[in-house]
Amino acid sequence: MIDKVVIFGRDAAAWLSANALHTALEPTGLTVEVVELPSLLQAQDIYPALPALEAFHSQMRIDEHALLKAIGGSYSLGQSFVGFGPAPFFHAYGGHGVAIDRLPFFQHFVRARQKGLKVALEDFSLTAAGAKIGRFIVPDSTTGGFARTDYGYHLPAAAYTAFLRAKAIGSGIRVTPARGAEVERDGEGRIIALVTGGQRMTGDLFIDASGAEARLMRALDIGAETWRGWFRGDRLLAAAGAPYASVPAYARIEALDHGWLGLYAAQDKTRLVQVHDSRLMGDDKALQAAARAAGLHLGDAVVSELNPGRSVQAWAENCVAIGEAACVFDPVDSSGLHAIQSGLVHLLALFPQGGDIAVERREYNHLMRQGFERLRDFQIAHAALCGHGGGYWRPLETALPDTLTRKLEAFRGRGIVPMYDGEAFPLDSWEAVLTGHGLTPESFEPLVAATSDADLMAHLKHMLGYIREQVQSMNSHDSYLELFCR
Amino acid sequence: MQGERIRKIVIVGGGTSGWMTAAMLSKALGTVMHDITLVESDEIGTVGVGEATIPPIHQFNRRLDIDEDEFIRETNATFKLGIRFDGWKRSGDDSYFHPFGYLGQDMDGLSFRHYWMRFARLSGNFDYGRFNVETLAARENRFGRTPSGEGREKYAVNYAFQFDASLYAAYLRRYSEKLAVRRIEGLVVKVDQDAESGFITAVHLKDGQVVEGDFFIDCSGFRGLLIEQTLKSGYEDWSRWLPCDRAAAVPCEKPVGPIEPYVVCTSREAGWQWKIPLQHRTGNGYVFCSGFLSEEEACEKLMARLPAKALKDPKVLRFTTGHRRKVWDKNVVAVGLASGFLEPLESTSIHLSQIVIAKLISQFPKNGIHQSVITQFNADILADYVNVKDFLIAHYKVTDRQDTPFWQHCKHMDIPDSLKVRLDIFRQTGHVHSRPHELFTEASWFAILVGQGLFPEDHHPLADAVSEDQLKLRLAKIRTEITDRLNTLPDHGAYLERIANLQVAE
Repeated sequence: MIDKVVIFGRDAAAWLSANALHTALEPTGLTVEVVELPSLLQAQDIYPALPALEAFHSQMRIDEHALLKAIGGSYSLGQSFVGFGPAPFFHAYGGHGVAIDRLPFFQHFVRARQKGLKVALEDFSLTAAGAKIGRFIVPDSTTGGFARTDYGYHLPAAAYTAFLRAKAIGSGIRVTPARGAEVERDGEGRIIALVTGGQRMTGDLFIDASGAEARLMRALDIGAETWRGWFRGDRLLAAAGAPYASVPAYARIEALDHGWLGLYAAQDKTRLVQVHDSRLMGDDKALQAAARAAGLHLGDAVVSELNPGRSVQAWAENCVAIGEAACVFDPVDSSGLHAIQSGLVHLLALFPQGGDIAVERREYNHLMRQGFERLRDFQIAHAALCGHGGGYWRPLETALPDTLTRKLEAFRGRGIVPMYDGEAFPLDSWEAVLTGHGLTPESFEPLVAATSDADLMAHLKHMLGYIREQVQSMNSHDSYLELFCR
Repeated sequence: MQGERIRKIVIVGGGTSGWMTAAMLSKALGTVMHDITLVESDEIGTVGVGEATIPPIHQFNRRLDIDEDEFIRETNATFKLGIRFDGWKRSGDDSYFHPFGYLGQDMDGLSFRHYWMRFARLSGNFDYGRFNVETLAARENRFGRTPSGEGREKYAVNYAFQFDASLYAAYLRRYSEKLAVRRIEGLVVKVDQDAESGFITAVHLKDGQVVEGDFFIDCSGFRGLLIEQTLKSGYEDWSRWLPCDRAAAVPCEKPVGPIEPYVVCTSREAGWQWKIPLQHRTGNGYVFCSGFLSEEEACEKLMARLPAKALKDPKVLRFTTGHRRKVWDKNVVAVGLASGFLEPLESTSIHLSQIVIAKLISQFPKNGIHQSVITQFNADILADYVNVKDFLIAHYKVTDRQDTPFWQHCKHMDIPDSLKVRLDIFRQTGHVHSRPHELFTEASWFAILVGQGLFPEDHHPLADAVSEDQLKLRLAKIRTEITDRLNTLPDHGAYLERIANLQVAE
């Protein structure tokens, strides 16, 4: 029987774990405790969140408006990528166009482009069109009838974590602050307790939420495989400047010679993340470069090490790594909280009833590995396709994973993207990013040719007109924040 | 006189009153069937203190077929979005804006104000200015004219002007003289009346000229040469409600910084001070009550509180707030200061003249003068004056200010029943009681009453009918659309330059 879970760690990994486990399993008698390491977050840090987080929050009974109001967060409809492809492109959270004659829009689009259509794919995205003019799309039956629209968030990290922590404590979860702990194991290798400052915290299941350090995992001799071959960035710089007068509902990601720069607006500040390769630029120059590229007056910056890679096991013995302890991503695709959410969702689905947990553990490790690698593949695509001559974005020396190569080949050949188990991003996102990077399919689904040129043009025109009308009538991001989140 | 065709019209006095009258009469009645003469004396200075106006001036100018850009250039005008009132709630740094235009959009047949009040209570945000495009534009010193055809639902920008009144008078004089209005320079020294009817028949000038007329417009200022000195109409004194009886005025240089598209009225120890921005200078004045402050002290304080260097010495004007008991008597109609005076707190002076002129034209006598027409005319004009009076009194009465003897006096003074009823209804229900044809709209009453600190105890039940989310979505939509409009408006100063340059281009 799993009666007690002890979470060892900090920040979002610890507090999302605490709240999620408590909300789901407290009714069955589970006790959750937290051994809290000092936070690594400062005012400059941001957690950009993907659309799936909304449902996760909902399960934990976190009210979106109340949260954004409390932490000064804002919405995100996607990311604008600048300097990666032939032209800036937008990765929107949402679909493009509507099916024509019961065949997928994208296939028609490929054909239309071959026939000389000059309109970009993203112009057929309601989400992208809205984001670019400062609108916020509240998905409803009207917009849902056209194409999928969705949104994520920009969550000021320190405030978000404090919010989650307060909620956990308010639920009666016991918290023990610690700077570290010794791991006490039994004869079979299971962790039975964490010992810190004279206190001994026993538990049946342990969560390693200690971040990239993965202290519990290392104590269990679980190492990590590095992804350095695909992700050159080994430094992460976080800084913040004044909020924009009008808060954009999307992030701006720019490819630089020494790395990439992300701008994440929120109500309280504009935060910046720069990932760079220390061999190309020293830390001392990094802040200057970031300020210049961002066009912002920045406060103090915090530089930390970044080591993208995956713990070889997410769940070892009776210890589950959640968040960066399980997998460290380059943050370019707003993936930070995704690892935590995905780890917790699968853990809850496979939560052991007790006794032998090997079955759940095996399945969990398989699913987590799959999920991490599929997200990794999405991110490698940027480096694989980026046409930036030298420096950070020069061609990769390491061979691409097969799973990604297969996707790129299929897309190049036929405009399709094979979706595997555990994909982090839906088909729309792959289509948007691959197209944005300049990849053009050579052929398309032949059946789309059954639609006459005139009909095709009429459909496309109609879609563009509909989008134009819709985004004009939508509320602005600013006014939505003003009325609901302030 | 009775039963004879009215042909010769004589306007006694120039300035804005005289020339607005001349322009409108000559345009509306023409100079074929009517003979229009204006008598003004270069010896008498006119009271020109840099004026602000309200939107009805558009109708007046339009009726005259005046090109607005030309008018702006000729009068050194700036645009006006409303009036900012500083320190009226409790002095210190409180400030509110009385804008032109509307608040939000009415929904489901209910005035927006009630939705706003519900939202203010639940959000704690009491800034109603966010739902008015004129207020937001004023805060950013932006201005632009909205294409015609776009109305309230598109947040069209409502506006009026600040201008140099003496230039407006000169402009209208050129206009009138082009339409064959005859100007005679001279000082009136004697007035002839018909022995039986008492009607004015002629005025005698200092140089001996005699100007005969069938109908006379008295634009002679406070003294009311014809309406009062000759016809003894009588004056209704309103000082017990509006105690200010002096105005010290002085122009100063254009201050550094953007030209504000609005007037500022700052509450002071014994009255209030105005700041009216023109293109070439700024007009300033201290309206005060001599019972609480001497003229010297008032001038000192005015000079010490100017936003830039003074261009002249201050001039003090004395007045009694009130109105002529008969604005139209026999064959004389008084326009401007001759008809009455209300302090310029809400820029109503020119407007009150213009409504008298417009009303006169609509009722202009053909063959004879009928008492029934006169009686109704006077009643209507009185109602307009009373409406403005009540609106002004509200500024003095609805306030927490009582830090000086003047303000303590205001706190304890009586107010007319008509105003009392309005305030009570508003306080209890949030409803603005107003009659059709009143000058000040519900939006105006709301702006100043809430701005001065009177927040109603309740709002209309219909505003509670929608869910909170629905309410917020509607308000978000309004905020979105207002911001869309606001983003199309250029900088006020730049817009004025564009208009000035249009002439150069021509």
